[in-house]
Amino acid sequence: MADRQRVEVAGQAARADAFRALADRHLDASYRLAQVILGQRAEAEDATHDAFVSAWRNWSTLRDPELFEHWFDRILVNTCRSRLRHVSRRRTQDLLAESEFVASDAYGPTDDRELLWPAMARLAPDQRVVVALRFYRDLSIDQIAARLGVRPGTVKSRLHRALRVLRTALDQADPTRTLR
Amino acid sequence: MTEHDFEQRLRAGFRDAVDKAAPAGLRASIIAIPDGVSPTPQRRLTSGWRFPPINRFAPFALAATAVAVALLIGIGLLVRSSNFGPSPVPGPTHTKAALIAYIRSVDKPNNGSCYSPETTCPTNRLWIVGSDGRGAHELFPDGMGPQSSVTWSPDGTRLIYSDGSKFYVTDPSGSEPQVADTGCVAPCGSDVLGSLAFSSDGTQVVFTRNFTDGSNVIATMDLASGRVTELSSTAPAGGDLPGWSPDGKQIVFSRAGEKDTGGPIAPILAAVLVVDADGQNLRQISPATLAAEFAGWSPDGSWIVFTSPDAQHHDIYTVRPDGTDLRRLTTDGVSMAATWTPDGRILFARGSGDAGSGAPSFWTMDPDGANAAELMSGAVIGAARGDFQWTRPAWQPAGGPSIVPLPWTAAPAT
Repeated sequence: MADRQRVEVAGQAARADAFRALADRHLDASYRLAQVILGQRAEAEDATHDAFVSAWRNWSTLRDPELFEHWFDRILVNTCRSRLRHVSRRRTQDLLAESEFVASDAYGPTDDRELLWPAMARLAPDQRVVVALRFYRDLSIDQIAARLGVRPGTVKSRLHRALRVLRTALDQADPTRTLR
Repeated sequence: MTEHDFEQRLRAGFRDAVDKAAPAGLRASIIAIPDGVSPTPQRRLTSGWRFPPINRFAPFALAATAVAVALLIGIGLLVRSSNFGPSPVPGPTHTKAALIAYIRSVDKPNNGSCYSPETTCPTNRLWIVGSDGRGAHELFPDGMGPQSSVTWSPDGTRLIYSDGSKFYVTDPSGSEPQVADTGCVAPCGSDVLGSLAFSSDGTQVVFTRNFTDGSNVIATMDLASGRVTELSSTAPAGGDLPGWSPDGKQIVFSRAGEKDTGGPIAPILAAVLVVDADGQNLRQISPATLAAEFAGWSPDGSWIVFTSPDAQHHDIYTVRPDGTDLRRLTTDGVSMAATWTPDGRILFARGSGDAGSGAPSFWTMDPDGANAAELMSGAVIGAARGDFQWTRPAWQPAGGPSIVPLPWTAAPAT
């Protein structure tokens, strides 16, 4: 094997090792974020996997491993958004009916979660993304804007509209519940 | 409850509901990605399989096989020239029948390309079949990744399709796919989430542009100059499956609706819209009370066909381009993915079995719904239930103008 080939092989192995290490470290958080955005475990698993495949294919565009989380979040969010867009066209399989987060025995008695996911299913994909980043990841408006590549004002307006939809849906779903 | 309390409840609700750790299978699959996925997008793979070691009998076996194949070919030619019995089934590139291109799911080896405990992944791939039902085959059988959005050039010599990251142009034999650049640069995120269609004179394409902020717009590109025009009136929702009117002056497309979750917020139905090619005069032509998608303009310009879906059923309708004279052509609830043949009939997919649960077949009918007949069975096209809920087949035109040759040099959008 020529030196040049050895260097290339070593470089490929190093890249693969770096990818595995970062993927292992960020997988759980990424999977949780995908669950919040998509509202379904199977969809979240597929989206997380697809996002990591996309990340590997575009590995050369990651200049600084320290920026992996920001860089990968954007890939994951775009993957989730794309899946939601397709799901919205799958009328034969209602996302709400598929949601495993609704009234599951695994979560015990009926509580806020039973109301939250049907309400989330009413949001547009972009609204779900900002709600997840704001109230699950606890990112600031500016941080969300930076991750999504949009203006802070855009994030604010999406968030405002999303919260209004959530409040309306939750109020009308069950006014006696705590999530009002 | 104050706004702050409400937001805290949201945080608690999310925190309690999601699984904390990713499943072990998902982790293993992701860790294995560098072993099984090419670091660059796959287009058309050569054989991904290693040949087994050659043993000492291999050369003799190969020679014997070659002799046997030669004998079989010779016998086949003799039979064919003597008109003894039926001819061998020709590949569609050898038949004079027009071709139909379509997307169907195929089981591909699971080498990390999808997360599944199975050894195969159902993958959408580009297929071709003669309109006489002969020679159905996958155009790139060695490929592994998903493909979508297949369309013909007006002269029927070129096919354009997407692999999810780029559009490619090839010929019906699948030789030498070339990348078709539509000039997507930030803030454009992707031009290939939807489909692309040629104008009938072959000088322009129309497609859906997706921006990084999630908004969409219908865009056109003049192939000679590379000038891309974003039809801002169609933003931010954009639309799906845009197509041209035969005179190239208008564009028809559909727009996804919002789901009916049975709650207090009324659903928004999917709709068919028409816009002038310069972005002016955007209007909805499908009724406000009828979900409508998969729109296509008839070759003579007089009708627009579309599919109306609801939770369980799909049926085909036509309407005049000005939104009048709505006609329901099917009532079986399992007819979908309608498009036009070059001679002005409607090609569509029709589910079989109870409530369309079986394999779909291709049918044709007149523009008024008369003379509906099966063109080829589900066994011929090999598609699965659901394959045509997202895509539609494309019938090869003949005799139209050729497109501007690649490479296209896209200019900044205006």
